[in-house]
Amino acid sequence: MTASTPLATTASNGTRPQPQRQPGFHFPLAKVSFYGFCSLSYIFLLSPLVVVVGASLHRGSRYTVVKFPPEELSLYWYTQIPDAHWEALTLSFSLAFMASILACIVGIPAALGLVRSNIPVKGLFSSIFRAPLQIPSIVTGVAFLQMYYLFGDLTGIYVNGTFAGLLLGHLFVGIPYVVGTVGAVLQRFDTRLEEAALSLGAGRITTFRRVTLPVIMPGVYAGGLYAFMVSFGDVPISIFLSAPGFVTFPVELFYGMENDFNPSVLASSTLVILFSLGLLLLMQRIVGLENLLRSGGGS
Amino acid sequence: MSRVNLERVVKHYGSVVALQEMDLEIQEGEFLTLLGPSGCGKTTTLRLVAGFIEPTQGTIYLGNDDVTYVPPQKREIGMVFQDYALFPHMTIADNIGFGLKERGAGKEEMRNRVGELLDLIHLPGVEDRYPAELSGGQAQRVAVARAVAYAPRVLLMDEPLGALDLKLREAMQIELRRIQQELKITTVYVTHDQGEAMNMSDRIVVMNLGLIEQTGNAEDIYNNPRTKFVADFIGSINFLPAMIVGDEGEWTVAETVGTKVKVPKSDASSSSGEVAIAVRPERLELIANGGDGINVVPGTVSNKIFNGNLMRVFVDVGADEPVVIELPPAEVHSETGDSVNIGWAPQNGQVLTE
Repeated sequence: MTASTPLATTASNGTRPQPQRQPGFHFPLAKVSFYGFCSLSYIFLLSPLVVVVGASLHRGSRYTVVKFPPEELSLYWYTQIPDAHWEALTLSFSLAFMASILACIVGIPAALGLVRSNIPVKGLFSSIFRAPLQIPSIVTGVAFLQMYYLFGDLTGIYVNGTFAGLLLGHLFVGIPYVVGTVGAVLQRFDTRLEEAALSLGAGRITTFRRVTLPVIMPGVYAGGLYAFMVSFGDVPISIFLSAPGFVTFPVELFYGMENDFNPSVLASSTLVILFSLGLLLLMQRIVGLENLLRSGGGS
Repeated sequence: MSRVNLERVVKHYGSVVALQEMDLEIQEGEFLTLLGPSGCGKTTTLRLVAGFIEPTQGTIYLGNDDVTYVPPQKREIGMVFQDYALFPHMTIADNIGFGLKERGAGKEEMRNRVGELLDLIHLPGVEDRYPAELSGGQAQRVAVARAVAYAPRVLLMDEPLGALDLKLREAMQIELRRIQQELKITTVYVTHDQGEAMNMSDRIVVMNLGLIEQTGNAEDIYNNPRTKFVADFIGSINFLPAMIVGDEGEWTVAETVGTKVKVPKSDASSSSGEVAIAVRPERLELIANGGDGINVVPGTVSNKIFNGNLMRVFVDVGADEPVVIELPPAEVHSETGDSVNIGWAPQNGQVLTE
């Protein structure tokens, strides 16, 4: 008995008993389940996209229902995308583009003020800039519509159902993203860069243009991209502020699904997915590069 | 290049006094170091000269111009920061050329000047690199080149070597001093490192709690510190608690740990309260008997530390702190626990008050 227990033998040598490696027990169960879990997450995140793209490639006929996986691959439905979709896409794109630019124009100074100033009610101001994210979009939509009616009744100018009306609504939800991301970058911004520029003879405006803005640009890109995406994908606000014949792409799809569903919806959705993917990759390239540069200063 | 002059400058931050009335004149071409612990007001002084902050009271002159309320971009200064503050999104050439461009220099002129400056800092050929691609020492030299590119009236440096390791710091001290001498540029340098201050400066201003404690060159301050603070901050020093007990010709007689010693007469000689006898460790000896005119205090060796080129012997003489003596290792024959006499020539001691 004593001879067979490794503990007794090693102890008698006066050395520490070594824990014995048991092959088989070291089967990487933890590793397998970890990777399994990760894979499941990816499948969960990607499967809706795969279904949309796959189903859009199914040939079918006017009378077939959506089919996944596709039986015969074809770009047929891409030729059947109705003009209304293209018009809606154009509107959504211009809207999202304008909304993100305006969100940056409003958001950057706001972020500067919120991060740099020492006003006592700073907390209140930053809550105001976060508020649009905390109000359900549907409520925002209703509120904007009511506001437009009220404004129209007072002035005779009704902006609901116009580009400007949609733009304001989208700007409202876009600003917080720019304030958030630019604010985060500004928190880490080394103000000595600005002092260096001033000491070298650059005025306040030149300093902002040549030093501050380029350095916080990754935050601007990220915030602008969020604002773009939020605007581009918005239904609840747009549905209230659109007018017949003047609708954004998601709202057009929404109506299309309700009234006359055919796989051309999937085809145009696939185009949007590809577009978003391209935009994302582009941003990653730009922001990634900027990040590399802004880590600068040696050390 | 210009003289810099601060007249009765005071700076308060709310109720906090960062700088109590300061008078300071920096000569043309002088390398002046503001030395002191953090919170002593040295950085505040530098930022006042730079124009990043305005004084609560007083006047600041650059040359003959009153610049007290002139914004930094109109002061024609060059500034070097601890963490370099190079513009990360610009190449080295664009960084160095930043101030030149602001002054409307042409492309050709800029390229030539950048080349000259890179030669000056011994870093040719890095024009097209980005700051992130440089080492700390290189980045700091580029920062200096950027600051002096358009011949500013004064060069201001705020702990520029603080982020570098020891070896590099020493090499950079020599480098910075060389550049300053070549350009003959008026320089105000801020540091808390006394070694740095002594290695580079024409004149050192020791500051504490928003006040100038002492101004002078390195030797002056080391040999004749005016206060306990200065003596302690520059180099290491022993303090023995003492009372003034009398007067003997050119010497003041003080009693410390039960022994009478002689020290040179000074302002503190008439003090009636507790004073300190200050002696540098390298000016103390271990002696067998008191010779003529030598101060002798008996004690016990409590520790010895071998430091390579010297041995530090700690002797307990009955004061709160042991007295430290630095000797060549070959001259130390006493062991821990031995009774010894420490001795020093009266002119090597000093009587100081707080």
